[in-house]
Amino acid sequence: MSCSQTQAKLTRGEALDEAERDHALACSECGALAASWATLDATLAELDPCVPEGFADRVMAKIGREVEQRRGDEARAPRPRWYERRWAGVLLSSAAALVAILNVARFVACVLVPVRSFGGAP
Amino acid sequence: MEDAALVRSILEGQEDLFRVIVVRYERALFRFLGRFGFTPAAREDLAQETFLRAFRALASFDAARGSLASWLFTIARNLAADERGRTRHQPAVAALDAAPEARSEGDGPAELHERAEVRERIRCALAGLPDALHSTFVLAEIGDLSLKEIAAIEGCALGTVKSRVHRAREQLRAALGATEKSR
Repeated sequence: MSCSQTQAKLTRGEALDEAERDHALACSECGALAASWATLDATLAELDPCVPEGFADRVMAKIGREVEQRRGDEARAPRPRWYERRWAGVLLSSAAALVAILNVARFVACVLVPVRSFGGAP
Repeated sequence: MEDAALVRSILEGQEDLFRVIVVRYERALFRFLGRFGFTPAAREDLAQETFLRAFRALASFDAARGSLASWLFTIARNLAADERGRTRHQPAVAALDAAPEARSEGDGPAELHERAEVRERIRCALAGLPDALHSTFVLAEIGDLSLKEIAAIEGCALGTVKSRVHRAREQLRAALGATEKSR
């Protein structure tokens, strides 16, 4: 067990295994380092604030107000007219596409296909 | 109930279940914000804002991309970094936020004073850490996130997280050493 190995673990804040703990207890340098890290960790833990009483209630009250407001806004929002609805949009675009296809077919039939093929007069 | 299932239920209209998320993460969040040296009022405001923002954006949370904890702490980190930048030049405000004295039986005035001094030095050393080092170290300190999650929050490599934590710890220990030498 080497000092550098133990000290590297201590510095990274990792837990020491049994052999490393024994080494830290026997070696004055590693022991001092372990003590200083322990003091640092304890001091940091002392800085931990408590959660203020009723904190979750206050958060949930705010969220409740937001949800209520959102639902109120949704209820107050004007109902869409029939042509603003999604199904109306889909229906109108389909009808427009169908008319366009029929027009193209009519154009092909009247202009591009030779008149004679239909048996008309030359 | 797992976080992802909770989020699904909340999005389906059971908003009251958000309380479970608040209770589950409030302690870690306050620990995280406590390391920034904010006043208690600022800390509560930031914690509330974190949860409110999380609630508003809950639909954008994707469990496949990371845990709820790392998502929440990303919000908290950004809020805390903004607040830290805003109050950087107000050391007196941060100093008002004295942590409750950790008192043990047999502590005399001298011991209490000594410990208060150590706490103050560590607090100052924490406040003096560069932003990247500070934020990474504090996220690692709260213990609720893996180093991989911290790397995702900080937007850096895993090795960078390790080295930042190492450097921050060394700087804090140096501050502690200065206290011991001054005795």
